[in-house]
Amino acid sequence: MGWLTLTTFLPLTGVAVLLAWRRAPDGVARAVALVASIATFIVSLRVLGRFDGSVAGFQMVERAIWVRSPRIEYLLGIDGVSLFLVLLTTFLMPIAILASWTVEHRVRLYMAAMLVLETGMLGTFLALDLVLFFLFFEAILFPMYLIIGGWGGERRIYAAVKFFLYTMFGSAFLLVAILVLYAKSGVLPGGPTFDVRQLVHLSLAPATARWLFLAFFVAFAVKVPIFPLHTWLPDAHTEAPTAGSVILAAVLLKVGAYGLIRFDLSLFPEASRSFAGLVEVLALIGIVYGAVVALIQTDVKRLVAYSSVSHLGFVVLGTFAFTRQAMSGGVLQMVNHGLSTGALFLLVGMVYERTHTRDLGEMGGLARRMPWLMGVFLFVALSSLGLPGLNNFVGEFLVILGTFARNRALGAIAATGVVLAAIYLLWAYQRMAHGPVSDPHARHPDLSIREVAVIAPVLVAILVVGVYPRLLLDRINPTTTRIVQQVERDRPTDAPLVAAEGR
Amino acid sequence: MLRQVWLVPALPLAGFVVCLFAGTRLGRYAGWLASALVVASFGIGLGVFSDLVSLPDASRHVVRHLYEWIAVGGFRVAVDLRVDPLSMTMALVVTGVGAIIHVYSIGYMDGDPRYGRFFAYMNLFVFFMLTLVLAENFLLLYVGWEGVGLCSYLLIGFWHERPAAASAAKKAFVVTRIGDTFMLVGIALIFLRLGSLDFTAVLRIPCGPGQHCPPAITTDTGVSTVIALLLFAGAIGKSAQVPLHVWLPDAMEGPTPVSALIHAATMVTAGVYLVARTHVLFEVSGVALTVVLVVGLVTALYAATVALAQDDFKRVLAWSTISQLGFMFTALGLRAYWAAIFLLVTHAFYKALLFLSAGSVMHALDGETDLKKMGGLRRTMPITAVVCSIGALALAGIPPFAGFFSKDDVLAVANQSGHALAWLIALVAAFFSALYMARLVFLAFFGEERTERYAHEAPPVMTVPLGLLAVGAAFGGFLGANETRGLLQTFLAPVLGKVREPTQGLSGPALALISVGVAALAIAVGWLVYGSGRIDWVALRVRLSSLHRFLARGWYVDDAYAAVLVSPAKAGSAFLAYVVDARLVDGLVNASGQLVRWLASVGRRVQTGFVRNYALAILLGALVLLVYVGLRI
Repeated sequence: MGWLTLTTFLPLTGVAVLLAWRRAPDGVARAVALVASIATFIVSLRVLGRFDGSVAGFQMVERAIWVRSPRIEYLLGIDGVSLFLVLLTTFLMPIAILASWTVEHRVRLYMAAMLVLETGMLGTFLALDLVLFFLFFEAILFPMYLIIGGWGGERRIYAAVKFFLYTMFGSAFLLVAILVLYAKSGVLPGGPTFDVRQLVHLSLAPATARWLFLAFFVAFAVKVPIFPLHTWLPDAHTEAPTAGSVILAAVLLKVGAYGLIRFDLSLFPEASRSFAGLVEVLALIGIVYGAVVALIQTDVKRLVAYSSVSHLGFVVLGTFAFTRQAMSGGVLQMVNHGLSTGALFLLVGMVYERTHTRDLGEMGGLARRMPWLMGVFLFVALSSLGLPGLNNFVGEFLVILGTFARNRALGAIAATGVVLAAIYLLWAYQRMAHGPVSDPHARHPDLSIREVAVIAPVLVAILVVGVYPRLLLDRINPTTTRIVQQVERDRPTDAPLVAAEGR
Repeated sequence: MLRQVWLVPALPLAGFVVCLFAGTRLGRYAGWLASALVVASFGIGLGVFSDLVSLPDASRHVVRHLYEWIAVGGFRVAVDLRVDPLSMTMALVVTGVGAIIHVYSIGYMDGDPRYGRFFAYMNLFVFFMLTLVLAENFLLLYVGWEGVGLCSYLLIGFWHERPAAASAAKKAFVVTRIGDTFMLVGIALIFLRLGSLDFTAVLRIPCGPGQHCPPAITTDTGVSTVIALLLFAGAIGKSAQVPLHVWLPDAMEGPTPVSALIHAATMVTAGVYLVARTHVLFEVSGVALTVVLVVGLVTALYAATVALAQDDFKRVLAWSTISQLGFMFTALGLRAYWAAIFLLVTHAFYKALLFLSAGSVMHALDGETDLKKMGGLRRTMPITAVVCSIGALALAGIPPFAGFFSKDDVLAVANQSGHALAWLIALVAAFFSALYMARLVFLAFFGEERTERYAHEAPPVMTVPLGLLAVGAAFGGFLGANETRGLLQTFLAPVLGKVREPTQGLSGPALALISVGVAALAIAVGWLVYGSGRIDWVALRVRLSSLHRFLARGWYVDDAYAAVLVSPAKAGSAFLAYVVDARLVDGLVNASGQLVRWLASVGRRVQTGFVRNYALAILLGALVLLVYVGLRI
């Protein structure tokens, strides 16, 4: 068994224990989930150690025939785009589980759902066979639906159904496109296949490629989410329990952005180029629109959700600028958004457990009561608003730089998102932490030891990525260079973008 | 010592970490530790400085490579520190004045519940400010640039239980970030057009027509204009120039040592440093220099008039700082970069001194800052009265105090370079400067006592720093007393160019005489109105109430921003959130959901509402789509 398979399915051993031991006490159920997720993280570190940063293609590929006809393979592989998404997932999962210590009812089921979710996400990032990918992609849906619908807030059913339907809507297009692609792949030397590595060589009629591009695009645009398909996100975030929000923001949204790079760009380079202008405009709308709408929110979870719409706009913009800086910046931003927004949801959850409100209007003066919790909150907010020295700045600057190289106006408009982020985050922080203490009788203990264990690793990661991003970039760059070259491969040579301007 | 230059910023950073995590345990020692580290940083800075001076003139620029920070394709940025006359001048001002203010704060902040946290932030500020001035490339400079903004935010809002302090902190960060973002775009443009962000590569000196400049600059002055103006937008924000000056007066909500260090001596001068550092780009452009000159002059005059009408001790000083920074930009716009840096250095001494005097007064009067409630303090606080007067005289430009030499240089350059109008405007601004300083001193320290409180002199830990700064404010001018061959001018020449001999205009002594005459006249007027007791200035203010209000509210600029920018922005945001997003975008989605629900209920005659039904409907739809697509392609 290879390292990738082990990483992907290790969480399921925890699920097996939880399902078999029907009378497991809550404490044991929590411990089982935590141990399984930590073990997965340790195994994934081994994957990082074995990863060869000089290779641009897929590595550690594992392959087995699953179904002979139609030929479906069990095919896993990793490259610079998926590497840190896998690590992000395995890194945040123990943290999310530790943050769920306060979940009190049906703990066993909850923990099992979290672990199934982890396997689904890891498989999605590692699968190189389209059918296998689709199965993992769909497998994410059910545990997430359960977690939102089962342990969420007051309007959890509405939010869960909305989340489910939105994604199913996209999946329908995805399934159709996958099957059409298979039907078209018969001309390849190896015969029809779902293998992404082979499908890259398929030359499609431009019109076909464009339709397929759009079908994939819709499926992933819902996940990212790209404006105007984003309205499930604020509801899902607001109603989900803390860990659900963390995983949703940190990892699930990345499935969409990952899919855009892995499938849309790689399989349909010509169509990607022809739709790039449209996608970039949507990304820019997302950046500005998400930020402006975030300004006025009074529910802190909704505010963070809209900030995600804005931040993911940077990722999409970077992806579709087709320059190495923008693409690497976009991939780095996926990880950064996972760290920062994941941490924001963790902290919002901690605040909620004390104040029992998410309404900014009812908070105030919390920094006096809980200086450390609010100090950490400010640190994460600063990372999210792109303070240089912390993680987000590096990715955002690369995206702005790379986009600017392609189109001055796009890059300049994207930069306004940076100003808006400062406004909505600092205003929210002010309403939350500053001013006189709103409720003088409430007891608000500062961070507990468990909470320090939850948040400290993320803070360290935020700082390390900000100060020494090459740790990630050096492994991301070869792959993004390859993808940009693929996309630009058969561009008519009137605009030699990659060669121009010192890139 | 040149290789150890990294210790200069590293020591305050270590102080930040220790004070942050062990601040409460350290108690009062936190202040001493933080101060000691800044003093040590200053000492190492002196060592580096002496090594630099021992090098021959032409090779006085050393780059200390630490590590490569970001690398993607051709884009590479390293954490490199630059040691040259300009960066070391700035570093010594930052650590020198910084150390004095740290020591003062030990006394001033005594008894504050967040004592350790205060010194943590102060040390962090010094770290970022040193990063800013020692950076060898634009992006590392930007790290320091935003970092000092963060510390400014943290320290303005240090007493964040006060809503005014919290709002002022946020305002400062947001307003400066508007400028910062322009600057960031400018940095991106520099890389794309010039292929590097390193100062050594981009700012080759000398650079002019026919000399070895980066080709993109010389061939295309449009590019250098755009780049220079984008960078200047950052400078406008950080140095509180018109039209982004509105955050600085509010920033006075912070503890007074913060105002002295960040909002007078160091951070707000970062914009001046930036323009001086990148003056090559501004010179090639030409247009950009004119913009700098105009902004500087307008700000110098405008802020001086506003300072005349402030009743708050610290706000007088804040508006005065804006005005003085305007003088520095005026010098930059006249291509007298050394004069701007000279004014920057002397201003750091006398403005820090004035702010710390304000702090001393507040310390004595339980935080009172209203000039109307002071008066006659020279009897109870003689030391403060003397040092504050020295600072005021220095600012007003009375010889032999520091400001006389530095401000006179700016005025002289204006006159002798043929900018007669600029010279006149600056002269009027100088008149107002001397007038508001005279008003401040006479209202606070002379006349009859208008306070009930028992004022007292501060402890030595505060008065000794005041004395040190007073020495700087009194004699600092001799660093550059000789206009063309002064110590500072000669030292800075390799970076900022040689001082040009005057070719036209009035002679040096004549100009000095005019400047001193104007300042003396202003002080006489100030004495007549506020010090002599012969004029009832309160009654005068009532007679001129609308003019007074106009000036006191800063010509209503802030109110205009609130009406034109802030309110519509909030309304627009609410419209997008509650109408467009909730009704329109989400409404369409819900409507299509309703449609599916209706179709499902009709088609299957089953009450739905279950997810599996929706899912089935969608899968059926997919199948239909598949068949359709399969037939078409």
